[in-house]
Amino acid sequence: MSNDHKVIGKSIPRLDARSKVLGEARYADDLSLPGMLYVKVVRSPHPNARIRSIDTSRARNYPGVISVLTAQDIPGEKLMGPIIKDQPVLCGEAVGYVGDAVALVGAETEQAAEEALELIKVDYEILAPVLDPFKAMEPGAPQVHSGGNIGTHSKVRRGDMEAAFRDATVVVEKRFFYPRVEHAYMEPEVAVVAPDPGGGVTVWSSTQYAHLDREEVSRVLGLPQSRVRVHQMMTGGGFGGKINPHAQCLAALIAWKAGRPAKLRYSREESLISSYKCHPFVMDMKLGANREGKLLALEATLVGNTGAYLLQGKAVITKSATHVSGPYYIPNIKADAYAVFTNCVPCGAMRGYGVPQVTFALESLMDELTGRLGLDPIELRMRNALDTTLPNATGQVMGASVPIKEMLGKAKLTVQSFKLLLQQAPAKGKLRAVGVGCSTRGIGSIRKPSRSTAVVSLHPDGSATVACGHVDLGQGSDTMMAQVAAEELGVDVDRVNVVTNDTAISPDCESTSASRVTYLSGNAVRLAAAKARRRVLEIAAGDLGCAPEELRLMNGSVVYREQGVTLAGLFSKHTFHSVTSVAEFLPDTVPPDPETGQGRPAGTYNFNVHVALVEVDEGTGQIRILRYLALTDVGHMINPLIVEGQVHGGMMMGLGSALMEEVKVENGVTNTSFATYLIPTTFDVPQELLIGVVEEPEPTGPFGAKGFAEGSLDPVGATIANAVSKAIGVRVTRLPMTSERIHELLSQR
Amino acid sequence: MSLMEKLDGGVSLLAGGTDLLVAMKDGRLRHRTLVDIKHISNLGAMRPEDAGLCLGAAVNTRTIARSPLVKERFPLLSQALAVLGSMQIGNRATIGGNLANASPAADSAPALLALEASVKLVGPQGERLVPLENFFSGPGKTVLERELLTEIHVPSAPDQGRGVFYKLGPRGAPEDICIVSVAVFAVPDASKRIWTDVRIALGAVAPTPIRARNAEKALLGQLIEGRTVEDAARLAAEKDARPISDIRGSASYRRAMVKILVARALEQLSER
Amino acid sequence: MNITHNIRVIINGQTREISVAPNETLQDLLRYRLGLVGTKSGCETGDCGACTVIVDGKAVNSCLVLAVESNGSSVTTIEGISSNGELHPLQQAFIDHGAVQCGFCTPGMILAAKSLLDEDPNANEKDIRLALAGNLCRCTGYVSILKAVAAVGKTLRGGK
Repeated sequence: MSNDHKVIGKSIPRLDARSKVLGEARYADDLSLPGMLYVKVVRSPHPNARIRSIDTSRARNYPGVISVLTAQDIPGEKLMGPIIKDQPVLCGEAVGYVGDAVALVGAETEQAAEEALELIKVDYEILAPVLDPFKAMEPGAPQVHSGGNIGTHSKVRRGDMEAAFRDATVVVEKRFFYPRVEHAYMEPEVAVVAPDPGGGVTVWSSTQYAHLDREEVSRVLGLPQSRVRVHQMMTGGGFGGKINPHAQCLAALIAWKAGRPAKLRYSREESLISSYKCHPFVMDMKLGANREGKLLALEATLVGNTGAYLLQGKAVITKSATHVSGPYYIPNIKADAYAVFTNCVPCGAMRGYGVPQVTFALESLMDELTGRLGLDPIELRMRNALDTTLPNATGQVMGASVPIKEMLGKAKLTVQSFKLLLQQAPAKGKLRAVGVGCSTRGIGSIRKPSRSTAVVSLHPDGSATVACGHVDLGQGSDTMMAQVAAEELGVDVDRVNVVTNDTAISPDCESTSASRVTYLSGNAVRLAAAKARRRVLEIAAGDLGCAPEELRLMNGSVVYREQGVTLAGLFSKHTFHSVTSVAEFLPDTVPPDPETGQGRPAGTYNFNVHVALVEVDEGTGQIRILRYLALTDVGHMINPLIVEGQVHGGMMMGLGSALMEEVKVENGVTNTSFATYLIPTTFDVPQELLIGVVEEPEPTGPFGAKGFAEGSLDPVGATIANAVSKAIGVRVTRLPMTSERIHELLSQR
Repeated sequence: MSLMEKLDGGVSLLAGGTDLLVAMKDGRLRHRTLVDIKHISNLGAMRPEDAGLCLGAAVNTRTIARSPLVKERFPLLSQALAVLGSMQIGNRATIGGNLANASPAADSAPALLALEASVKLVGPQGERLVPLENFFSGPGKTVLERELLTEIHVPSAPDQGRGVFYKLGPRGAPEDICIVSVAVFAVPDASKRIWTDVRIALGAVAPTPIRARNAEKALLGQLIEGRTVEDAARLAAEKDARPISDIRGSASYRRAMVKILVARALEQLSER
Repeated sequence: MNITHNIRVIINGQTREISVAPNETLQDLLRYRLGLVGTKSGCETGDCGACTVIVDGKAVNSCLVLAVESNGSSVTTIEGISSNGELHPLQQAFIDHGAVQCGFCTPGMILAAKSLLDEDPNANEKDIRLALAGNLCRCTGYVSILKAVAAVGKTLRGGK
């Protein structure tokens, strides 16, 4: 890959960093509009109940209260959701979980709204809830929805399972548990909505998908989408949890009915209780290999507790099924993945989207195999790793950029150096071991391909504007787009303005998720910029009487041999004042077949190999990560500093699920603050966290780049669990590995 | 005092606010009058007292933890208060507030119990000095009767005495509420083979922070060696601790941890 | 009953006389009344550190301080540590080390780090971890933050 790029591959400080360190970046709660009302939400205290009646009379008359709304006041659609629209905006007839929204208050002060909330009386007919997905699947279980409690079923079918397991010398089989995880973005949900004089509304929100805000708000208010404009404000983290614009719809209802701006900001407790989470999975997996360690067969049943509503449940379950065999070639696969309805908090998209869950199960079984076969963990993985010619679980052959074997080779060196540390006498009562984990993930949406569109405008002074619809949540995508456009247009990055946060300007590219932005929108931006450049060069070539290939675009001028013509000069001779080009990028994919899971669902795949050196306190069960290596495959780094930041962040988020994070539901969510929902702190960063980046270019990616944002989280639970299992001599089958759980396992030895 | 008498019920005392404001926001405390006691003279002062220490109730826990005087005279206390909460919490939380809030998991209590501190309570009937061990009466409950906790007296300890504090939390971060905490202060005799005085205090394993008296009795005058340590640790876990199960841990895990941490503390102290 | 208290507080060097409600927090006062929205609201229960400001030289969670308690105090927010557009070394270091992603924890994190280094320019890696443990970040994994703060500490001590 050529390294003579001016801007690609450079660690340029992200464009919005300065405004953030100054405290000048504006998030939705920083906004205050004249006459603004404050919205509070009445939420169900019961997991399953019918609503007999709602008495809002006292609340309506409370001083400062301007508007009180229930489901019957919704002018448009009453159900919403990012893929399947099955969640009530406000519950009218029944509630499905503790935290389900039932009524709204809009008042002139937050205090008045809070006080008025308590005056709203909801008469519930309490019903028996079902909280366990296996109970929900039994006949006679309370039906969460009329269509039954199985929300979706995804399958992979390939080969002959019976024959394969018969031929297997070794078969390992276990049940694994992955926790329900909270996104825990530092900024809780906020939306501000104001009616427009022209008839329509404007929304300012914390969001990962401004165009879905537009779609849902327009549906709920019964407005055409052309009358709703959404501004994504600086967003304090999303991680998949800010795709469903519930706060936006609720605020919009009050704004619409009251004819005044309205702000809804969730309290942290409200967010912890009611916002959607990552699916907890119960996974039964069976893996068979021959004497040489070649994997022959994989059978898996994956049960995801999707809670009261499906949201992205279908897509998460499909992703988990299609990724069940990880980065290995396994000729015979039978996987059944289910999203099961219960009266728990709903689950939807979260960084990982099913892959961390199956990775934990599969990688644990791989290590079980190494024990039975007497093979080294790296060696076993090497023998089965995918390459450019072998099909993954969906039958897709990747054809390019499959560096997993190279990564395993690098990991092996690290394993050896970590093991040297093991030879030093450990402190008394501490058990140490090294563990490995790896994963792969298809970039982008698996079930249905998504298209990115970008608009690039080149201005007479050489500066440019890029409009694209994937938003920056802190992962640095705006900076990436600026770098891509700058490289194509031959300008400095600070002469590129990226506009991704305004639905009136930025084209809809679907949600910022699935690690897709660099690959899909990076490509669209590159194509649009290249188109604009070509247009300009064609015009100039016409004037200069040469071929466009002989010209270069640099710093606002067209350069021909030693001469330059400024764009301003060029445009002034023609009818342009700026040149604007649009381009789309749609990867060439085939969604997985509903019966077999076979297809070609992703344009590219990202691979990850991690190694952990852990220390377990034999007495207390506490785990410390001494050294950690996260190797990731990015195709080509657009911005090394940003890549590093993503890998650190993904690794530490994965560490959270591995060691301490679990949303507990007893009726409703019981961790109602950050004192009881624990996420990693500075204390939890491993003594040494090393990053390795492998660059084997993805030919279809922008400058060879592909996505990796979730990839750095996918194998963390598996890696740490493998190390801990080795250290304590007992297989860990449940995350998180709290000290009490490890203590329990130790006492079983 | 007279102000409090006038206002009678419906009054909460505001010191650091790190527990109080959370309770207010939670709705657990409503429509109360708050009396800010931070600026009452002497409550914010910390001074040596003979060879011991007098801590004003309103001194911030982080100030105490970082104080060279405390580090020198009572490193056990400094160690415990350094992990009472985050830096931000420690800069507001007060030692008096932490004690008066009387959480069974209060991080300042085990160390102060092990150091045999007493608290001075001032009320309409006058003043009294109460040993800290008698101050707590239940989870969130103390013997305060319309009184103000004004000072904590930490008596001098023998020179050869050494202490150690362990806080077992889910993350190891200072802001964690502990699953179990253990503070041990022990004084060996001249031969260093027998303990003449041993105080073992436990947090989060009983309705209040407690002294593990059964364990202590088994150690006094005994040879400091593996067997005695093990027996004492077992007594602490089985006879002294009365833990419950909650969101942070089960009762059986807590008992097991008392045994392990008390044994470790005693071993660590016996090695010095 | 609408009691208010008149307080005098120095905010970012400027003396202000303000009338506050008894249950108004310092965080409310800064964000919603004075328009100093750089201080963020992440949890309002003192668990995340996003609302960290420096009061009389000490980093505190402004969500757990009543406005009335800051009477007579000097308060520094994120808006107050740069001068005339020139960034404080910590602000520059955060940019240079990639320690800023979504930016929501950033103001609180920088102020916590500032108060530590002001107190203790010799703070080592362990001290930094301890001091910043009360500032949660979900994006960066803390690594670049710890590096940035350590680098500034080193500069302050005259190192390169």
